[in-house]
Amino acid sequence: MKHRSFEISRRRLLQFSGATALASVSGQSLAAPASDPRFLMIILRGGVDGLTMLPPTGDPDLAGIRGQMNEFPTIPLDGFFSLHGAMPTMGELWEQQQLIGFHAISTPYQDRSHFDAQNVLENGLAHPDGSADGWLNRALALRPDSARRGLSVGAGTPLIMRGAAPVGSWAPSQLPVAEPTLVDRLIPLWAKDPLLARMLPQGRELQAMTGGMGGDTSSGRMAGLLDQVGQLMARVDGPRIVAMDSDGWDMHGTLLFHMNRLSADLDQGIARLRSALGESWSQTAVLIVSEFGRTVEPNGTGGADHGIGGSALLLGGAVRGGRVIADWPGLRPGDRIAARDLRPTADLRGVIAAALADHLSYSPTEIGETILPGFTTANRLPELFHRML
Amino acid sequence: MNRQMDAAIATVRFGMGARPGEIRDAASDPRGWLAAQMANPAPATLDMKSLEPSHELVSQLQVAVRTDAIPGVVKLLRQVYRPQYVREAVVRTGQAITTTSSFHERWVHFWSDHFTVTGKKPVIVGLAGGFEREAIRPNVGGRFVDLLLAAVRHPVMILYLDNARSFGPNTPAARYRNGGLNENLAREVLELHTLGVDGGYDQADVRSLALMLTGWSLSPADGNGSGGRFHFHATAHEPGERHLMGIRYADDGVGQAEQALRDLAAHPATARNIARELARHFVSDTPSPDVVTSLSRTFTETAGDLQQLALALLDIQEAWAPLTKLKTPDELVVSTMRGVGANGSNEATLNALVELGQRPWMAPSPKGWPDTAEAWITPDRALRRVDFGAAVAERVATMPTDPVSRAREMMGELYGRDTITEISRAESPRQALALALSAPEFQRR
Repeated sequence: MKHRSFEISRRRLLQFSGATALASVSGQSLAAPASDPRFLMIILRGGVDGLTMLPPTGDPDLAGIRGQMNEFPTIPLDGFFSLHGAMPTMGELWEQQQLIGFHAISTPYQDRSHFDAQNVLENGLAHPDGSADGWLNRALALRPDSARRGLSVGAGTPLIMRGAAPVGSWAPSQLPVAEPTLVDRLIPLWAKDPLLARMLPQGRELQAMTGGMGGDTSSGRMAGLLDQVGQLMARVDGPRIVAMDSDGWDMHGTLLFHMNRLSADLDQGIARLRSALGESWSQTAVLIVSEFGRTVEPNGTGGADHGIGGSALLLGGAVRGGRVIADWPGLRPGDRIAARDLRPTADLRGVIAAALADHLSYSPTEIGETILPGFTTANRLPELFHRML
Repeated sequence: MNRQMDAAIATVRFGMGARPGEIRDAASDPRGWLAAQMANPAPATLDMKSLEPSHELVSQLQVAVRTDAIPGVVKLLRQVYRPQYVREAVVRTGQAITTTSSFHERWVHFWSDHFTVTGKKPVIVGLAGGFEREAIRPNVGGRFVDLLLAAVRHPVMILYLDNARSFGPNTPAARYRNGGLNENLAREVLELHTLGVDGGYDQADVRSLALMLTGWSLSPADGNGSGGRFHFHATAHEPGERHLMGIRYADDGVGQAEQALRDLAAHPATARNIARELARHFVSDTPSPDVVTSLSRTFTETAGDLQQLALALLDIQEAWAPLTKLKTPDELVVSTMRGVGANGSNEATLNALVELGQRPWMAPSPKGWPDTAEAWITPDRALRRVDFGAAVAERVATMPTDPVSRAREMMGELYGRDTITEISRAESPRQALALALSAPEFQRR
């Protein structure tokens, strides 16, 4: 694997981590330690284009390769990487050292099917099949009270949250609420159906928690949803491990238009999440990932096709941010996989395992045997989170 | 054999839920009742026949792009496509609620989902209905290969999976338009429509099919009403022979990809892929390998005759086991409205689908909607299902005098004894109806 001079980004991060550690002694550590950590996982479905979300603007090949598709506003980060300009909140978080970018990263899946790639991202294994449950569910199953602590936001439950541990699920509703006496009568009937048995009582608990929550969520857009998710996660009895989807990132055409639209919505969502979380923001980490990236070269239709190497963002008050972590492989045809995809140089499980170990306090055994079978926790990326006291 | 039980299963498993009187109608010969629907489906509603053809709607898009670029498209979405979507969705749901051939209607929905186009891509919002009406509905009684060709050639699929602007890299069109290859359609054809993800193809096959498909595009809008239709642009078609799954395809213009699709339709991996999907939909979330093998064999032996395939489902013993499948939100809403004898659909019906998490033609991806229970049932959604049942019961004007027989009209013998007891003890006929519609049995098919 080639290492061009761009590996400065990695070296620079080592310098940064010293600075960050200092900052955490002087400022951050005065905030409440992450004794009650919150973890939100946002899955951008479709394969976000990393060269637009977190463009390597310092790579001399980028502009030539991307052409017109490289012409959009950016927010400079570390001199090599930038953020898409429609994400000012993320830029602010960067300034406050609460955001880490990851680039040239992927799950162990090295092919280009959305659905297989999403399975690998969510089942926590090295291959698409072989598990009908998700790694967040397995993590929740290791602690008591999973039905309160785990929450899946939106229609249906994605694989990452499916499994043996009961978890909550929530989406805003406009339907009139049924008479409680009707539900009382139904609970014993539903109890006889194994699949349905636990649903109504758990639904009631959730209803009690979210009661009366309205807001501008009918469109299902991220900004409105993340506001409400923040309100839920801020509660003393609220959920602590939350997964939600954002659709529409499979941009085979008109990529710049759609990136601008969806990135701005996501960014506003993060702003509203932060403000809804209030004090709890300091104990929060948000991991924004996608099943893969997109081809280095634009396709013929102002977009890019499915490609293996991608990008991710980790942000929040619990994150030791202000850096982009990437062992940058370069963009030239010879640097890529099959002369088309950005070559991943990091395993996304290294970030996930860090969140599990250093933010949510799971043990290496729990991680390596149950949550991410086969992954060695010692190989996680170090120092992504403030030390918990 | 319990014919009463089979009649109920015929209406709720194979059909879309019993309308009043249907279980009685099916009772003398449940299988024959279903088979007759396939042979002679009831005609589509008049509302459906009055909807605009796709090529007109696509032409408007072409004009908007050409004259006003993105602002033009945004305006078209707001002023034409969104209202069109609502009309289409109301008509589709109304058709499902009122049809007397609901096995056939389920068959249409099944294949529509197999060839998903979704409004998650904004320009498809106003077009997905037309795609289903034109590419799917008329072809579900024929052979799979014809359905496949109709779906892949349809202008809305061409737009949805970006083939309209996929140009052979060495063609005049690519140079003139400064464009190139887009492999989206080719990949989904292999992964979803035909062979399946484990069907044995690789990246070279994807690229090869994508190159063969270059030129499969749309006729330009010219003011004479000939725009927005399937059109083969020879100047965008990459010349040269190709190989796909070990077969050589001479360069034959539009015929090259067409022959490739014919061969894909006949490939054993396609038979297996379709058989798996059918078994999961009509038998259970985890059908036995034997069922899949047997359906796969029927697919191959009949050369993909979809009518024979539908009839083969009726001969599978396991497909007559009661209530193995959880209803999706769409199935719940349609069967509820059928159960109360609704005479159509409206925007309130659509709102219910939004609340329960399954708006028509808004599947998250080209893979379509999940077809297994765990994707659809969560505590929050469970309560929402009860809220919906109660809300419908609230709106029914005439309450049954005998709530238990009313419930039996909807589910026959499929309700358990405890549920029947609870219905008979309800505090009011309205609550009895709400119980029948929200009972655990009614969540299943």
